[in-house]
Amino acid sequence: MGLIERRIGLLSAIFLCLFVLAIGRAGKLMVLDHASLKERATGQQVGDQVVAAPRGAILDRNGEQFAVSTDAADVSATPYLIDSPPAVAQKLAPLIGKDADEIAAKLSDRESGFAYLARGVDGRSAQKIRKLELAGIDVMPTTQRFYPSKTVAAQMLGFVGTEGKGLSGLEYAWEKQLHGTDGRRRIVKDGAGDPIQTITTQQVQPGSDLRLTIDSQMQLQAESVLARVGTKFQPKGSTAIVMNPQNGEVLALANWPKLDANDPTSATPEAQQNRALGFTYEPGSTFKAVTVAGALQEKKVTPETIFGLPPTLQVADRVIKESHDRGAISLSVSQILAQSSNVGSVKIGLELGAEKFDSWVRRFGFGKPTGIDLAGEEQGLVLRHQEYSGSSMGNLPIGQGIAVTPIQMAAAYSAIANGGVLRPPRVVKQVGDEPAEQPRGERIISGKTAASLRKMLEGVVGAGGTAAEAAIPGYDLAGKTGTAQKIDPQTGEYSKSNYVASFIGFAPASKPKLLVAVMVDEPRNGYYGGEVAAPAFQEILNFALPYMRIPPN
Amino acid sequence: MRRFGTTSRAKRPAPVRSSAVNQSFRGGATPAVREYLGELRGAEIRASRGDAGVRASREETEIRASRGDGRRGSARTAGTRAKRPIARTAGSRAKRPVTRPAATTRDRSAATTRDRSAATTRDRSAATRRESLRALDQNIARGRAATVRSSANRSPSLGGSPYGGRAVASAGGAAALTVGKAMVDVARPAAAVAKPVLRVVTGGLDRLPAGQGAQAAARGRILIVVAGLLAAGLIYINVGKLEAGDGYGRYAQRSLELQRENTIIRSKVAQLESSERIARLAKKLGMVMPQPEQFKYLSTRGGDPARAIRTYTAPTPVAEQPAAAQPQATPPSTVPDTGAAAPVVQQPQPTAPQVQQPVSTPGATGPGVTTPGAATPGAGTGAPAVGGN
Repeated sequence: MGLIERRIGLLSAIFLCLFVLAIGRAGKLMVLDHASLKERATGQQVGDQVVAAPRGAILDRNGEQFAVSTDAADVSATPYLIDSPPAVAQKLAPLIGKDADEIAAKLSDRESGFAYLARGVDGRSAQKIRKLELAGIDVMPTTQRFYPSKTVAAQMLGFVGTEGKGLSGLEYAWEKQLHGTDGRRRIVKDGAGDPIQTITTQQVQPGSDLRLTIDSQMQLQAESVLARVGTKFQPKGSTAIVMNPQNGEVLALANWPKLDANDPTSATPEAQQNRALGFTYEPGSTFKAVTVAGALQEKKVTPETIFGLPPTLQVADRVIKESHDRGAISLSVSQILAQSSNVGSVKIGLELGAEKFDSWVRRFGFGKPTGIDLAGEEQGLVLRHQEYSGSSMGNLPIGQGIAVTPIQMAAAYSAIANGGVLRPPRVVKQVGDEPAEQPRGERIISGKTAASLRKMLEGVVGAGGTAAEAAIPGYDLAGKTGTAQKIDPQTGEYSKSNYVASFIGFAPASKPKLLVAVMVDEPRNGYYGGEVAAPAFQEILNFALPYMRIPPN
Repeated sequence: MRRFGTTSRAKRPAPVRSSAVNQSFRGGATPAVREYLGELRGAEIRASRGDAGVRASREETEIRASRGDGRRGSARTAGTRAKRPIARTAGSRAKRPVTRPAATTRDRSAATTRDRSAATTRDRSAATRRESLRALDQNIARGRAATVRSSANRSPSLGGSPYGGRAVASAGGAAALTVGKAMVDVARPAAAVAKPVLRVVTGGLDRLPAGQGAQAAARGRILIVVAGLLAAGLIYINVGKLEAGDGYGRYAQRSLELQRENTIIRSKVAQLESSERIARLAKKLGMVMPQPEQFKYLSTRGGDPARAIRTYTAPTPVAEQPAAAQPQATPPSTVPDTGAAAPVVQQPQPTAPQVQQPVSTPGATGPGVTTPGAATPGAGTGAPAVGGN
């Protein structure tokens, strides 16, 4: 055998050995390690991606957008993959609006495998960060809720958390409808990590738009009025509700202090609260209408029934007196309501009796939520008549010893305004293309009683009434002032300096189309309802009546 | 002209023969054919060397042929041959010790023909066999093409063969090859039976040398080409699928990007439309909300809605009118050209605007701030200002 043949033989043997080795290796990979390798390959090549459903917008009754979702991104880092934290921080700082040193500190923490650098970065900045292609920096697409009107209706709208879920207000109450259903996609990648196939495993169902009963112009005006009240009386807070009493639609629901819906966490807790629903207070004189309504409906009194009223009235251990000292007088029921006589109201309440009075309080919807389609509604605090003390009927008929919310008061007065039907207020008019469910009302007083009450309440705004200055020329208005002392938490007694001033009224009195409730918490430069809240009521109506094309009488 | 034949497996089942037949299908010639060819060539060689055994065999064969008996008789038919228990087949020859009877016959034949002229016979026989050899080689080459056609197409000539699947072969223009239970007429000219498409594939085989190696190599190349085409098709389909998936992914990504852009634009539009922004800008421009007493509502009477509908026309587009058509020094009064359909002239007054009372007929009224007195006297037919229009 020659040299060449021997070498050829040797090479053949080597190749044969290599071939056998390759076959063996292939067999091991394909047979023995099949399961684990398949799992690893699947993990590397196939990835499931959640496609966030576009959140529905919130619109006012005319289609103006109160809340929209916009593109955003969360920027995160894997610190140990970053070679030069200071350089990366310098590039990112202007795009995510944070200090470069702060970013560099996060990136330098090599022990950490993950760190959020910024959340909710706007879409354009996110795009710029993506183009930088920084190793170790991830830009995860998400959506950000944007409120174009900033402070308008902010407390009512609520806000959305970083995870895209509503946390308060309408965003929370209507989360299911607004959110829709997230989709899922399976992305198959090649060896280089580039996607080569995209499979939609679950279709995205966008959230539905909410069209509200709120009118943005009315809302803006109500907030402007509250802002002026805030400037003038420097209260702790205030709220205003504008409703159509005929159908329970809320046209405006304003709160003060203002809150920027795009940055809710920077506001104080008082500013974040939707006081219209969540603030409980003793209603004071505005509650006298409920006492009179019960007595009228029970036929205990008529508007013309005369009561002899002493300067003070002793009820158990409690002495009832008027807000202003006076001598003994005789007043009709209408005059009692118009002049907001405490003694007269207590006497009417005593005529009605504790049990009947309690039933009328509950019939007007106090002690339970109104059922408004918003989150965070308080139910107030109403004692059962069995829990009444001896003096309870000395203060309950005048709105003390009971806690209500502004929306409860507005709903109760709406029942008086619309002829006796109590309806849950509502702020959502339409969900997607479907009209929102309109709850049925419940008749609580007769139309005749309601008409009598409206007539009596006209006197409040008329000459000699407690809110005569709230009158609007040409319009017949009706309403009731309220000035309630607050409980001093330190003494447990009624405070001499902290009041809740309120006014609830409607127009036109004969056939009400607008109802406005104003509540001012702890005003400083005055505290009477007629002085603090009634002007706000008037100012809101000044805009609302012509805006709603409601002609004068 | 010599003929050779073989029987089918159906009548003479023999694994060895079947294998040989299948091999012949793949190789292009049955063992019987190859054996016969070998015999011929061997005989020719032996004849040229003066081999007596070969001579005896040739003579014995000729005697059998003259008797009409034997395996190579020209009068044999397919039916008779198929029914007969003995035939000259590859299997039988492979198993049977044919040398013994051949030797016996050869001895007898040698004894009876010894007086004949050996040289003359040898020459004639050699010439005949050479001729036969050439004819057979040509037939085999043609027959291979026919075999390929039959196996590919299952042609009606095979399926509908009157031989019923029995193997019948005839040399000299009627030779046949047996493939399993199918019979292929190898004597038929390839050009006449091959389809045009197959002709492209198999045509080259006809021109190849008769050697089995070359033909096998040619067939192998065809198979490689076919397999390559199939593989290329498969790859093309898969690549297309990947490209489609990639394209879908890119479009889905693009769709997402456009949706994101849309949300950004939408938020911008919402920002621009915001009541809060408009109110702020209006305030900056010195605008104020009118007080309720600054609005004046007009009372309506019974015929007002109908009259309003009659007089209602689309407002004249002021902006489109040429400046020369409005010589009045006091803008924004507009004098309508038509009579009865004259719209109400509007003139906003910042101090004491009048808001008209809504009329029940939609479209006939509007909340416009009007100054009835500003209407040009004599315009139209004196239709009252209804609804501010």
